[in-house]
Amino acid sequence: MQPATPIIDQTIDNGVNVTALLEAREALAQAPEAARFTWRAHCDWVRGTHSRTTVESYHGLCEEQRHKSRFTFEVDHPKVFAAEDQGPTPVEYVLVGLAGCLTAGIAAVAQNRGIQLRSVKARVEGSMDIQGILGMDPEVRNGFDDVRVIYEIDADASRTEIEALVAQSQKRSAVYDLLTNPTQVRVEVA
Amino acid sequence: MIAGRSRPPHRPARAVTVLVIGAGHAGLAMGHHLARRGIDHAILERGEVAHAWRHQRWDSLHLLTPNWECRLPGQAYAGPDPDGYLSMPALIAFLDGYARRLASPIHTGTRVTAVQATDDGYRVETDRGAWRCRALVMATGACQVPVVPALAEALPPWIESLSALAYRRPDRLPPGGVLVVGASASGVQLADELQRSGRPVTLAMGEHLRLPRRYRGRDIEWWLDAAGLLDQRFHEVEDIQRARRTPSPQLVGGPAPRDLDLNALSANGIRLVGRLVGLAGSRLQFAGSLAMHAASADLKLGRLLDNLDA
Ligand SMILES: Cc1cc2nc3c(=O)[nH]c(=O)nc-3n(C[C@H](O)[C@H](O)[C@H](O)COP(=O)(O)OP(=O)(O)OC[C@H]3O[C@@H](n4cnc5c(N)ncnc54)[C@H](O)[C@@H]3O)c2cc1C
Repeated sequence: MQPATPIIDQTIDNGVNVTALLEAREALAQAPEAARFTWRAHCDWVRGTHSRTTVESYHGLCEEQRHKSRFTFEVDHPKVFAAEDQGPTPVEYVLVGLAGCLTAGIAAVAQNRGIQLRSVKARVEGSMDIQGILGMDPEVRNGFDDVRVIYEIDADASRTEIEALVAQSQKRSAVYDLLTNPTQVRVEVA
Repeated sequence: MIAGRSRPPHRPARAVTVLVIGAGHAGLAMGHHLARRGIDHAILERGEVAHAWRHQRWDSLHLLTPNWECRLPGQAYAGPDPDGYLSMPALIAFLDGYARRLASPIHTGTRVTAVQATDDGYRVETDRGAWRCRALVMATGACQVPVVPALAEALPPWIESLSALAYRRPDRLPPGGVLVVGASASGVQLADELQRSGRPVTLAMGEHLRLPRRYRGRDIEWWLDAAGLLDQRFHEVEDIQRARRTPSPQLVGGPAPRDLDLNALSANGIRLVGRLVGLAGSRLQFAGSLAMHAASADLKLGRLLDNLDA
């Protein structure tokens, strides 16, 4: 049998401050309005399919917040789409988001469960039939019809424990939820 | 609800020390303990004894818990087949027999419509007069209100939708394919029955609890019982909220015990999809998380079996 509350081994360090996260959870239970976050991105068209999006401010904990610096993302289409390939495609950014979200979750859950990670690598793939976006077949959807994430994890843990880490990170992942469930989206002209 | 208003005011409320609402397992067991302690009491039941089992279950249902597990205070299963699973008529007879042997007064056909706290207890209004009592036991059941997703309201009128409480048997449904939403005990059993009746069936599933019917030569319930898991009190579990949200296991009883997990369901031709999450026009949307839920149910099952082995 396992002890009811996990004893957090101080020698385990995945670089995640689990204590701070658990404290935040307690604090937010008292003040749920602080838990409402709004994330933002600002996009500027450059030319053709090339655009530039920046991310800097967001809202959370009842006030405006700012990243340490402004992050810039080039977005474009590749040469095979007769474009300039100045950056990844939008759908690849979705894969970036999914990989980042699940991997962060794995680190946090591992820290919480006292599992030392040595390396975590993921291959993320999304498949689509571009007949959808080209409007060739109304039965084909525009987006991914299948997304696969394959993890290779080296850690002080059994295979079952590693599988449980990966399962738990999916349960708590925002991007996994975004991809697997429909979301209300409104696009308007200001 | 203030139903007492329509009663003639001159009719005095009947008084009793303890009033129990509901004559299911819980209410009847409470009656047994009150009678044994000589505490004067009454049981009020809107319908008959075992009302839920008579009127809110489908025709083919058998308990998923084996007969030896049917035990009420003072009465255990004493029939010829302790390893079988009771049908509804047999279970109703079991509860009827228990109720007959109880010393408790049971007022059937008496629906409680309102409860009000008073200085010295409660005033309880029913459709057959009012009661006063010092203590009140609500034994009205935990499975009385079906959880129906809000989008059911927006379904096109040509789709008939009903809850498991109203379902009786396949031939009562309009012809055609059926979507079963939810893959715990009721959902897997209904999907199985509908598919066997010759209909195409799709089963939408989220988090679920996979259990084998038998493990190492015994019913899984034997193992859960032997490991003490069924004796766990609410204050002994780590996270009571989570424990209460735990779905019922994917198990089925009946004359020929068998597994009814995802493998069995899909081998029988049932189409498995993720949780029902949306309705866009006349298209239903299902979550893409089926693989995650299946993997996590397998991990949980693995942990449980490891614990049982230990
Ligand atoms: C489809 C299905 C299958 C199940 N299979 C199993 C199984 O195999 N094994 C198992 O152990 N458990 C099973 N369960 C769970 C089991 O039904 C419940 O745990 C059990 O019935 C709870 O008993 P109870 O006395 O609390 O509630 P109930 O049996 O629901 O009794 C509540 C009583 O209160 C009465 N009542 C409600 N409101 C009022 C009112 N306002 N006034 C007067 N009376 C009222 C009702 O008429 C009813 O008779 C199953 C449940 C379902 C839905």
